[in-house]
Amino acid sequence: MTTAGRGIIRRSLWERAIKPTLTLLSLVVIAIALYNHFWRLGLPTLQKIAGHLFGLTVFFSVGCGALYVYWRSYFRGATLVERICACLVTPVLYAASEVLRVREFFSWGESLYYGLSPGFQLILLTNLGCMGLADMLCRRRLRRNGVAIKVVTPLPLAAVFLFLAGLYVILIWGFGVHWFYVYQQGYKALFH
Amino acid sequence: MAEGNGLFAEKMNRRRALGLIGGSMAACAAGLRFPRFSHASGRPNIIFILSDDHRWDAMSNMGHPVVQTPSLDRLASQGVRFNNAFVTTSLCSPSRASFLTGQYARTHGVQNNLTPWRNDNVTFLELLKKTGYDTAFIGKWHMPGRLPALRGVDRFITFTVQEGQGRYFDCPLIVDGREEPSRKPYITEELTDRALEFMNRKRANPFCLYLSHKAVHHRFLPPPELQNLYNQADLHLPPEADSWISWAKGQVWTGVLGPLEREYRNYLATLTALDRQIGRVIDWVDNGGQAQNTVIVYAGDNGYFWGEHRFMDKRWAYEEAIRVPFIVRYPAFINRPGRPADQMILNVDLAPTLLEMAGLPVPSAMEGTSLVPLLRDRGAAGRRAWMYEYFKDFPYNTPEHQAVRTRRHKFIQFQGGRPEELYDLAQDPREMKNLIGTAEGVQLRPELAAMLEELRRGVRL
Repeated sequence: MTTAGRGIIRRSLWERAIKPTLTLLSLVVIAIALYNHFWRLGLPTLQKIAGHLFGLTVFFSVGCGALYVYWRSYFRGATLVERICACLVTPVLYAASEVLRVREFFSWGESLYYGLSPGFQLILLTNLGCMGLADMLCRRRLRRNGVAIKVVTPLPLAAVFLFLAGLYVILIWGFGVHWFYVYQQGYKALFH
Repeated sequence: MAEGNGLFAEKMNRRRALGLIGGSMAACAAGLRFPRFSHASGRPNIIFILSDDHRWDAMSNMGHPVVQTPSLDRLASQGVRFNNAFVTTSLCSPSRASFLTGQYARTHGVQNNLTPWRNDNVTFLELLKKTGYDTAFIGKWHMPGRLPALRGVDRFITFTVQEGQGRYFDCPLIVDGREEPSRKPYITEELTDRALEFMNRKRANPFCLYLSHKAVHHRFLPPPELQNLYNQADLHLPPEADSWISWAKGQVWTGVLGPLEREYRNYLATLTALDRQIGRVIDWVDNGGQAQNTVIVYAGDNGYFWGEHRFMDKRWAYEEAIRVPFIVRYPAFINRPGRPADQMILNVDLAPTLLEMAGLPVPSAMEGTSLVPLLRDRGAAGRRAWMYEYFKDFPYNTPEHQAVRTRRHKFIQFQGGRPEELYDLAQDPREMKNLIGTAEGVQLRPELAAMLEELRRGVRL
């Protein structure tokens, strides 16, 4: 073990990057499986609760999982590149699994284009925003522990703003319709 | 509408009479199928009202536990409600083109929401216009490509915002090619106003109005006075449904992003708002003494899933998506009005039906069958089977597929690796038990697969 500066001990790659990533990934896989199959048990009352529980878990773990991974890897001494990579594993794998799933309906080219769709753009940007937010939260914690460090720095702030801008363009502008049509125009230009 | 506007009620000059006779003879020579319907009562006015995403059971006359649709109930009680009405493709643009042309999507070419309308497509409006009808298309066109100069349409009012989907509030209109602001804030009321203006015109000819509403498509926005109409209602959503369904497995494209219950309440309230406007049209007909001489047809362009099979939206060949409301009122000749009819009918049947009612031959290019025999005779035999087809519509997560639907069974074949499905609709109306691979399935499959093959070749069953 080595120090990563600011009094943080750098742990092994497994501890500082792979383990937090796999923890989140496991949660996502289990939550998706439960969400998709719990209804088959035929328990209508429980289904209502389970639907909310597993649905929320999938939604937040895929969308905001970077909050957890970034925090854990930060305090285990991961470098910035390691933190970013660790945070991107789950959303990228999720997108990849969806690309493979839609191969049933679409050609390879279309499926890859599907992986660039507004939904995945938003997931990526949300995770980016979460990384920025998590970075500032980590710094605040360090400062509370007596480390002389700035809480708000340009890069994390830019990540949060990028997320907010993306949120507006992709989801809020025309309730998502306008950006969807831009995406559709791209599809027509490429495949029609 | 002036009194006595029927073919035999109005004064017909010699030139017009000769024109009609000549046209009919020419049509005969061209190999058109002629109807057997007698037009002793003359040519009727025709009002076709099309809604968007209105599934077949969301009407109070169908026993829906929540929604109130008194105007549609009135139509059903005075006409014939078809309990087994289907669309040949459960998607807005293809289905709309099928209503207009009497053809399957594979024939008229509008296979999904991306393939454009072909200007050589012939609509029933064009054919009616040729024989002297005043015609109007008012409302949602929503077919890919540029807005066409629709042949045979005297008044063409539509909208192009949001790729032709329009907006519920303050939707700008295209009136005969020119953009105009909406005069009423709510689109359903605005379109109804425009329809009533057209109907109110003084004229010597019968009219055909195609009134195509945006409602009740997503985003399901009712007018302010109805926003809370069903807030306290117990919704009876299917047991497999939950609030997050629209986020799962690519269903985010349906755009239904809020909690399922809230969206469904809004859907029902939007439907009641539509029903009120339909009531205004019926009132105009009845209060103006036009009831005996006016055909009113109400239909939906496709069904809609509200969590069944854990789906939102439409597209799939399951009952929730392919069944539509379909009511015909024509007091002049409907036998025993107020009755339901159980024969299977299709969206492609509309055009031949209206042409036959207007005394016109049905072009052989039309793939539907006139409903006139079913309207006149409750015991008339309907079709034995029909084909459903769905074409790829990127980025929506539904594989291309075709299905045969008989009175009792449904057999679905998908493109790609997805296994076939076969359901006994009498035993399993919710289509939860796929019989493929079971002894019953092994027995049933050959005949159904052969039927599907015949239907693909254009054979009518």
